This record gives sequence, C-alpha cells and structure tokens, in this order.
Amino acid sequence: MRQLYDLTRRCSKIEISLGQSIYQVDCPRLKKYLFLVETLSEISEAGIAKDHRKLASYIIDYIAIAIEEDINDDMPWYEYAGAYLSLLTLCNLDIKLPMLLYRQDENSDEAWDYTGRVWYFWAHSLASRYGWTLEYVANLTPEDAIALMQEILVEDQFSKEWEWNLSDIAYSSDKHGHITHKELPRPVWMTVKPKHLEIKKIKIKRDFLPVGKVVRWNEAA
Amino acid sequence: MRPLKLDEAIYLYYILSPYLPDMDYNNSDIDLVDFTKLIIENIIESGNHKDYLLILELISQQSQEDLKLLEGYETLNILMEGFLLNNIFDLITFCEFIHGSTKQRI
Repeated sequence: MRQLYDLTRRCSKIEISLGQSIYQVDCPRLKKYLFLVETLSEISEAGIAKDHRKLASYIIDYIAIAIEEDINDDMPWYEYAGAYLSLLTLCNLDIKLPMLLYRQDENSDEAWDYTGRVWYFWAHSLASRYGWTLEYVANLTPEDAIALMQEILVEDQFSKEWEWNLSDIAYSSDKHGHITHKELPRPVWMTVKPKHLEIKKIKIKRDFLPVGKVVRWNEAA
Repeated sequence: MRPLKLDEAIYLYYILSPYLPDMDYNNSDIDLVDFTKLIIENIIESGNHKDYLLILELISQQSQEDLKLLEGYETLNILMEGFLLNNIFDLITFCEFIHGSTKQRI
C-alpha cells in the first residue's frame, strides 16, 4: 500500500541551548517557516554586503523566531552560532517540487515590497483561493502550502494561456498572410523536466561499447 | 578580556579574512602559535599594520593608544589569548559557512 505523506517526518523536535536556557523547538508551520526563510534571505544579503552588524542581528532574529522568544545580543558569539546551526534544519523541506527546483531570480525591488511581505503574499494567495482563515493558513505545513501554491500558479498560468490564445496578440501574420501562433511564455519551472526523471545522454567511446548483439532495454520485451 | 559578541566576532573574521592561512580549520591539530605567527606574517607582508591594531582593539576592548604603549610580546599575548578565548578556528569555520564559502566544512 502506498504510504501517505507523513506530516511529521520533516524534522523532529530540536533541542538547543542558548546561554543558561534550553529550548525545545518544533517543526515550524507555514507562517513561522516563511518568516524563517525570509530571515535566511536577509542573512544571505547581509553576508554578501559584509555588514557584520546586520548579519549578527539577522542571525539573532532567526533564532528568536525559531524559539518564539526575544533574546539579547550580549552572549558570546558561539552561543548564537551553535543555536543557529542547529536551527537551520527547520527550513529543510521534505518535498521537492519543480517550482522550488527551477526558481527564477525574483525581483524584490517593487515599490510595494517590504520586510515580512512573504507571509502576507502566501496568506493572501491561499486564503483568497481556498477561503481559509489566516490562522488556518498559518498552521499549514510548509510542504502542503508549497504544493498548493504550485497548483494555484499552474491553474493561473493555464487560465492566462486560455485568455492569451483567445486574443489577437497571440497571432501574427507575415507579409504572405501566413498566420503563426505565439505561445504565452511559461515560467522556467513549468518548462523544465524534473532532473530525477530525465535520463542524460552520455557519449561513450566505441571501444567501451559491448561486443556482439546489443539488446536495448526498450526492445527486450 | 571577554568573549566577543556575535557582531564583534563576525567583524573580527572580516578583518582577519585577508590574512587567513590556507588551513583545514576543522582539524583539531592546528597549532594556535603557528596560526598566529602566519597571521602576523601575512599582515606584515600586506603592509596594513592598522589591521593588527584593529584586531587587538577588538579582542582586548582597549584603545589603540593604550595598545601602542605595550611591548611587542604583550600584544602577542593579547592576540593569542583572544584567539583562544574566542575559539578562533570555530569562528572561522562558522563564518565561512555563513558566507557560503566553497570551503564549507560544517
């Protein structure tokens, strides 16, 4: 029997110590997960900018979000480093979707962008589509939310393609009057096959090929 | 002398990084004296003596004016004591990991 997706298998409870305190941290639900991921991205940006103050501040923020408690910044650096490294696994997902594998660089320079918007974007997308409350969306597992988000984006893309194909813009004619159809471009993750399903073609030197009659796997039957 | 806070420790790594000898910092056999010697040699070679004072200032929380009054061996002691107190090899490994270095060791 096919095993159903187990919501608890992504990460087990993590125990970390910070100074004199010990914290038990559960796998994050969607809202917390998105804040953690957003903070990771800020950590990465601060690292690229080599801004030690921001970098330290975001690492401490990440820990604070994970343990759901405000923490001071006056402990020795190794206290935070140990906690941060242990808590990094909270952002590991037990799901691999094309949407995540083939992400395009998102432009976050829009005028309406702000820190913390990631959560509101996800909350808005899921709540408006499924009619769920914010609390319900916040408590989804990140894996479920991401899989549903991919379905939303696929459906939106198909809907746009339908409208595109009905409009004049999808068709152009050359000087001989031949009409050609232009397809609406799809996001990269909808056009690339997942790597694990793809069999790479590899050139093999003739010397290394088997001698005699070759029976290929698809001809064997 | 006290262990550095997180922002100070990362700043120390930034100052040290151009002078870090190519070593496997996960290896517990690294000799702190050899490491310190190589760092000082690299700073002298670069000609950026200001960085040596910056490192000492950060580690000891003493002003550069006070540090300039110390003997050479005293500053060396401060440097080594600071490296030891701050688990310098762990700090380098952590910062390299954070910065997605190709030498990710954690």
